[in-house]
Amino acid sequence: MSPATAPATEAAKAALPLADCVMTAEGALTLRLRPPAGAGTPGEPRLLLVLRPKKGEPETVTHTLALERDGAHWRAELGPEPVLDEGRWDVYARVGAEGARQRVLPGVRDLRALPERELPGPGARGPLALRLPYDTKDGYLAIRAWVRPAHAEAGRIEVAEDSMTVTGRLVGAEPGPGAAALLKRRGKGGPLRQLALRDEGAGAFSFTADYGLLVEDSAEEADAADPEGQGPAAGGEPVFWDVFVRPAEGATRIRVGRLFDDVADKKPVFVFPERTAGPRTVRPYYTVDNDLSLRVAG
Amino acid sequence: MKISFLLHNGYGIGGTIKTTFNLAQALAERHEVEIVSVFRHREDTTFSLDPRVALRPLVDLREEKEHPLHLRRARVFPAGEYRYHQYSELTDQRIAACLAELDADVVVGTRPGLNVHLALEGPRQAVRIAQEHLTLNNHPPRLRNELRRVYPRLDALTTVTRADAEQYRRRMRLPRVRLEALPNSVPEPPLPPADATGRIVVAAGRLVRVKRYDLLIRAFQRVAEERPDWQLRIYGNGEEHDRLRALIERLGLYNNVFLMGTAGRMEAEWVKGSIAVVSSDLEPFGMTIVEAMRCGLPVVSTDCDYGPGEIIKDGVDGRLVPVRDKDALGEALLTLVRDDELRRAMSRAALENSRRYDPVPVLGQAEELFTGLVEAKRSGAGAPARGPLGRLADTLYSRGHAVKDGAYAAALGTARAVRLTQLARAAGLTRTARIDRTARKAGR
Repeated sequence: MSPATAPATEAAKAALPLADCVMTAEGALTLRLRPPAGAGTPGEPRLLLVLRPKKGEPETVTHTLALERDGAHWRAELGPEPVLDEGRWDVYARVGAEGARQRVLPGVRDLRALPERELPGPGARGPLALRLPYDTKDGYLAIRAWVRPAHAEAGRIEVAEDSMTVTGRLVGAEPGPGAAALLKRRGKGGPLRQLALRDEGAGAFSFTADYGLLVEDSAEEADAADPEGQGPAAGGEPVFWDVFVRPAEGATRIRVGRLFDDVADKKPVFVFPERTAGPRTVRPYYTVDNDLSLRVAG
Repeated sequence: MKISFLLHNGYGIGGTIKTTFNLAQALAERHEVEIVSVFRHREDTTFSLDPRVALRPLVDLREEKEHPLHLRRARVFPAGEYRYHQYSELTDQRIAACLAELDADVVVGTRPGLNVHLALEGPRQAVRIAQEHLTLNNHPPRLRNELRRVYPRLDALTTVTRADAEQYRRRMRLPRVRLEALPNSVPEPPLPPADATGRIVVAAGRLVRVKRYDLLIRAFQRVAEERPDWQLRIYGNGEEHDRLRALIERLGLYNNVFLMGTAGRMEAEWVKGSIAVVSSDLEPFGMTIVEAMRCGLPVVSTDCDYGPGEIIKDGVDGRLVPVRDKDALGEALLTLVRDDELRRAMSRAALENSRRYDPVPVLGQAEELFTGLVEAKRSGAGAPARGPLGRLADTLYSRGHAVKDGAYAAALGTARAVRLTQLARAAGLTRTARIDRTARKAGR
């Protein structure tokens, strides 16, 4: 029988540590690692969480967690602390202080507690910190983290002929007088549209965004937003409107997104119908950060 | 034993690949096992493979797509095979050379075209086993005839269901070929089973016509209307993706039905759900049914040929509904959605009943088959010879079906369907009936 001719990268990957993980509804994450090949070396194993810097920039934040030996495996618990800054965290393992760090491969992720989890209410205290382990495009384990002072979780989005109606819930913010939904065109000084926010009780809200509001962009507005004259409506370039909720008059606006379920990359999964509004097309979508926005094009 | 599997493409995704990997890995505990993959199109395998199983590609499509021999038609690989257009003179040569050099005790083909190679070119000293992961019934008539000519040379033929084995027994004369149903195996999942509390219905498979996800989405409309808190998640990629997406939009189901793409570890996705669903027109086995059951999900499935009916016990660990019946499918789903207790009971039954597909018993059966055949080959004892009457009956019997398939093949190949169905009927069906009777008489 011929010897195995498995490709090098496959062999190299097979030697890397591999982590199964379980997440509770409260967000505590337990990682169970199959140690890397040749891990018999002395020294304490550690789990490193490294905040992914912008392309070409140096790494800034690393959290180091103890890895406890658990039979043939290593185990790490990621409780409420440390709070992971918003962003994407790459996961590495390292043995001993001198050892080289190694990327961790994703094993089985048990996230079944997430789709059914209860949202904290409007009275929840402190910043909201959420995490979600996921596979990177090149096949390693990473953790997506969000930290928000308060949050508006999007639920159903019903798209009508020329509007969308969003239902959602406030987390860590109480609706009060002057509550509104806000649409802000992305980019510095972009115009703002204010919509009535319906209080549906117990922190639930809904609002309807008329697409007409997004296309009747006045010439003055375009000029004000874009003094250099490269108007966003010019040339049919798409423009993007980010969706916010202002819980009360004078309160800080809160981004609307969908962060509480188990779907790490919503953009290709939650796809909403496109509608025409005047000369343009409008479609709600989730950004790469799972926040809700509208794309106006055509 | 040294065991070699011959696989179309071990780097892709699909039930045959998965089940071949499972069996190969289980056999690797006690035997030397390799998988010969005719094609390779990417660096890594999609499914993980135990490093004890050697994987050997024959044609690397990343480099040899334009190989002059690859641009010429295959002559050994049968023209009636589904994947004929992907094979070539290059694959003919590489497969032949590979088979000629094998010193394996057992060689296992995993699709009809490769089984033809195996029957014609397989090493004499080795036991040659053809696995059929599809069904004879749905093979094109031309392929059936091509197989009929060479399959008698094999040592064994395994199907994935008893019903399909029965088809081969009835429609092909294979007197010296051991015929057996060997189901696909599914290992115990690495995480605890679902507890029937989730409000997600899960389907998984390539997004292709035969899976009828269009029917499923339409059927789910009733569920979403009555229970808008329930989701349907469909895992997989494929050519139907955009059409299905458009259907979801048209029916206004974009808050309830999701095309999830592929999942690295499907077990972790099954356990988020509490019902699995299969809407196919055809499931020769139905690997996802067993996978879902092993994760503790009852399965609502069409009762299509042939897997679902042999895996699911209707009303006990799932539901069987008629094929192409949107209302029956929707109603069966709703019955389970509405009744938490029924779901829990079926979930427990699914977990229990799917243990028979664990690699241990399936491996035991495969090992017994393989070793029995190896011993028989070594001692020179083949299948018992048949008397002259029996052989005459074989010939007549086989010829009867061949004539019918020949007529169908001609019909499909040349002219309009209506006229030629009549031709087929005249040439094939009536004559087959007569020959069947003769054969039965002769066999007595």
